[in-house]
Amino acid sequence: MAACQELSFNVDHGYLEGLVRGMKAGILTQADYHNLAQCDTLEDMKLHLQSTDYGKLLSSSEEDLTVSLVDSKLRENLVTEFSCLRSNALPPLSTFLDYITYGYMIDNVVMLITGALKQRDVAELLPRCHPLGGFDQMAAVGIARTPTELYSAILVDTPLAPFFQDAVSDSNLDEMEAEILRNKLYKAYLESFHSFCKNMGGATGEIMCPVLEFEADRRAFIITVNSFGTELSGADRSSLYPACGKLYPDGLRLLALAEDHEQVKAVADCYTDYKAIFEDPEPGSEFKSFEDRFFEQEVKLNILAFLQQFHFGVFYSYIKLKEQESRNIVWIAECVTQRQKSKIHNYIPIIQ
Amino acid sequence: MSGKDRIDIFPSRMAQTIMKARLKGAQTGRNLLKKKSDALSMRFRQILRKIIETKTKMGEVMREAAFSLAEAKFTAGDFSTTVIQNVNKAQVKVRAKKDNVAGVTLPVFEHYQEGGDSYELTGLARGGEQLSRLKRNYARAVELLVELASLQTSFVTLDEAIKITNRRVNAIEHVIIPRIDRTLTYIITELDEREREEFYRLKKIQEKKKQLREKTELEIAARLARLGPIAEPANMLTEETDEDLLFE
Repeated sequence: MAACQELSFNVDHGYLEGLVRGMKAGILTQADYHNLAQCDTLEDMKLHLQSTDYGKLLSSSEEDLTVSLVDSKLRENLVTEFSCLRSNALPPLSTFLDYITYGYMIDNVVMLITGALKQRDVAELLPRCHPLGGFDQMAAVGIARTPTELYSAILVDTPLAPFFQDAVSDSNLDEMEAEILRNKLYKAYLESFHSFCKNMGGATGEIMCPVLEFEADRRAFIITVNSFGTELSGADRSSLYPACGKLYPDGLRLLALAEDHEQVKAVADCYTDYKAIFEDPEPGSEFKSFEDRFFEQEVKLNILAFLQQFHFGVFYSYIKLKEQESRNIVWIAECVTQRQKSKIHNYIPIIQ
Repeated sequence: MSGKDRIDIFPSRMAQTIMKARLKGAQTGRNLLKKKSDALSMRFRQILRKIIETKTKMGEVMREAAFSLAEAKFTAGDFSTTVIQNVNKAQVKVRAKKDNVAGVTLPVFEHYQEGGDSYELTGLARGGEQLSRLKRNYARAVELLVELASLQTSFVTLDEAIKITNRRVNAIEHVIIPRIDRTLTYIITELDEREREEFYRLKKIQEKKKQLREKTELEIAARLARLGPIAEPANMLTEETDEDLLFE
């Protein structure tokens, strides 16, 4: 089975894999980041970026160079690359790439739902949606007045419909808080993605499943820690934990019962992967919040994906790494403009 | 400003008493106003010092808040749309109270929280810690802003009040009191002159009377000498002819 896959993979997807690997080679290295961190103004950064793969990205615009402009240009770049990949993709790669976009779609849908609730003009919201998460019926969202109406009229036709099943069956869609809805949808999405990758099997399953499991566990941990001190109870929390991670089922049960940071740490200690993340840093090293350490771990897992060939994991990893790179560049740009050079090295290094 | 005039009033003793009372009143008024001006100036300087302090702190707090916004955006992604969508009522509100300093009412603003935190669950899945830090930083920035606003309004109001009071003090000191002084001196000089005139008149009358007396004495002496040695006055009983009887 594996042999067949390797042989026939290149027939359908070889071109795109080659494309992705080429683009991955253009990801900024530590030396690039070092140069960017030395800059004093955004103009200097623009010059440095011109010598990387980004080329003439920033120099073509006539607007003032601000951090938000940099951000939007980087995102535009990512969207162009992704649409190029998607338009040339054949199934099952096309389904896989669609799955990647569902994450952004969920964010857009939640934003549109809250907008509809407050009767805001849809035309205002549409430009603020993430371009990777667009779906056909987005403009029609304005006609609905309540979330249930929205669901029954429009969302049922989108690919997100199955994710709503879980959310709608439990409680009334109208009364649900936007954040709870978002997390429930994301949980359903992760579990669905995970089973899809598992069904694909082969190298894709081998690479993607650990990545998605890590994502699921990371969400569980972060939701737990962030819900201390809010009105989100343990029982409510547990309905937001994705069940496709290593923590399922015992870890998740323990997390739902946890009431403070120490208990969460105790749960993490049972799993070797997560023990290191929650460990207290050695004295003398820089303090990193555990979110930062999750980011680092995610980057590591994504880099590992490129070590194997003939699987779809490279596409997912490439998108995630590119996103992290945009975040890093925007962070450095903000530090430079606000002259807060002390924390400029808090970006997550991708390629050593 | 004409400097040499005085109040037009008929110079008399009563006028003098009245003027003296007015002078006393003006001096008391001036002292009271000076005290008020001093109190206001002291408060003014205090406020000025606090404004400088608050402004420098403000610069730092805003800088920190903007940076924590960048940090939160790095970890949590773009949450600006979520925040904008969920706005309904203000959570931090401002109340205006009045404070009284030496008779001048100063507005004072204080902030108060109303309602719970409607953004409690934002960033639940990513960046919650950075978001709560961001909320704290900006809350502190808003507090400082409200304090600064109230300090600056008091500054402006006090400035006006001090200018007015000082103007009044100077007016009393350099215009009113000298005028009353001049009036008083005028009255006193007039009264003195009148007395002198009186005195002079009396003296003249006395002189005249004396001259008259001397003249009459000389006449009597002359008459007596004419009448002879009998220097007796005429006796009505022995007189035979009565001059007054016209017909006998």
